[in-house]
Amino acid sequence: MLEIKNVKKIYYSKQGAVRALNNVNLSIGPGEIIGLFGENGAGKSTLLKSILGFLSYNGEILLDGKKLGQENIARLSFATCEHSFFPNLSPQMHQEFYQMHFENFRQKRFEGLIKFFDLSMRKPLKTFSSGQKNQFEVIMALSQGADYILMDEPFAGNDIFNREDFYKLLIGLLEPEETIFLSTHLIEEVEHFIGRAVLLKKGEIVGDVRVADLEEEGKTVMDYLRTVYGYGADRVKNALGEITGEEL
Amino acid sequence: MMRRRYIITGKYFPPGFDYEKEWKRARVLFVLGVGCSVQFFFRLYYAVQDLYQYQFDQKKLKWVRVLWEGAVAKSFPDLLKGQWKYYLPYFLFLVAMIFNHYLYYYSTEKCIYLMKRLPKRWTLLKSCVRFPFFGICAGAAGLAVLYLLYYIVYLIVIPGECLRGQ
Repeated sequence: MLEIKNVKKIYYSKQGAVRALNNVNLSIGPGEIIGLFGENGAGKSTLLKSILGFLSYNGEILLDGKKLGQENIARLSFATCEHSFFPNLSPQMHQEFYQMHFENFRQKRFEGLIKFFDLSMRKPLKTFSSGQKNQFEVIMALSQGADYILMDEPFAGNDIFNREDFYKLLIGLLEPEETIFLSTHLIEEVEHFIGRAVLLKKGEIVGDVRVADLEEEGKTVMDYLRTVYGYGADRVKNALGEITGEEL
Repeated sequence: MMRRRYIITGKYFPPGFDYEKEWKRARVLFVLGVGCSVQFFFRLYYAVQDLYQYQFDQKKLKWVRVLWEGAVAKSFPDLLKGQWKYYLPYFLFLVAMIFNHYLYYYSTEKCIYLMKRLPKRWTLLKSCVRFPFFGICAGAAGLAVLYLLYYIVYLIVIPGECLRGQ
């Protein structure tokens, strides 16, 4: 169980202090697939980076009751659209690097995914297309052997077919204890794949719902999001009316 | 095979880092420093000259070189004064290498995220520091050998009686 308790994060800049996370409380159980949604600047990336210890924060983040540190950090993996691989190394070399550093590295899964996406094992990653780089980033996160796989917009730049392949693969690949915490803007795409949706707004959790419960109510995640965010359906119409001066 | 292993492990420098290029530059700076240090021999030559005077030998009917009475040679450290400047670029380059290694993790891709997630606590630090540290040690050892040779030359060239008090 990954527990996030009263996590606060403030960024200081010349313009003043910006509260990026405000009293975030969240529990993520093993085997869950959770979508983390929110507008740009809502704090999604900050939350993921705080969990991984890349950012300092106030509050507590526990993994099975223990603080995250060097002894349990390997239980978390991370895929980001910023890419965390070494551009001059090939997938083959990454495989060796991961084997050296992560004892639970899933060799079979790695090879299967590389083959599925038809990626070269010998070329350095800097020669890959941005879509291939994203694929590789996710492959490494899935192959590390982590229990909790955190993803921050991992499919940005990939085409729809590619993304669909990934979702299908993920569902088939994941073992019962593996957890995915996925931050994305592609809500409609992932809603059939996730089991729970967490909504962030201005650094606060404003929604946390099971997708099955929504489906029972006949709602989609997008509907839920619109309700929670107070997104007015006539927002665009009103704005256009104001800008053009015409009645629409 | 060994080179490949160095590139991957991250034990000595960041994985995938072009360490050969960096090391080559460091070597050039070191060799330039050593080249400049040859100035020591000019100083030594003048220091030896200062120990002698020329007197006319009536018997041989020619000028002969004789030691000044009570002449004391310039000390070895005196002759080396200012030589540290020649190696400063080399050592500063190695220190800058540490920062360069760290910045590498932020260049193009954010591999720093991977390095910070490694279970072995010190891998990130080692990858930034180890290679420059070895360079500093190698440089220091090289200089120790070089100046030992210089000192031997100094002892050979300077007459024993002029080494009083040293």
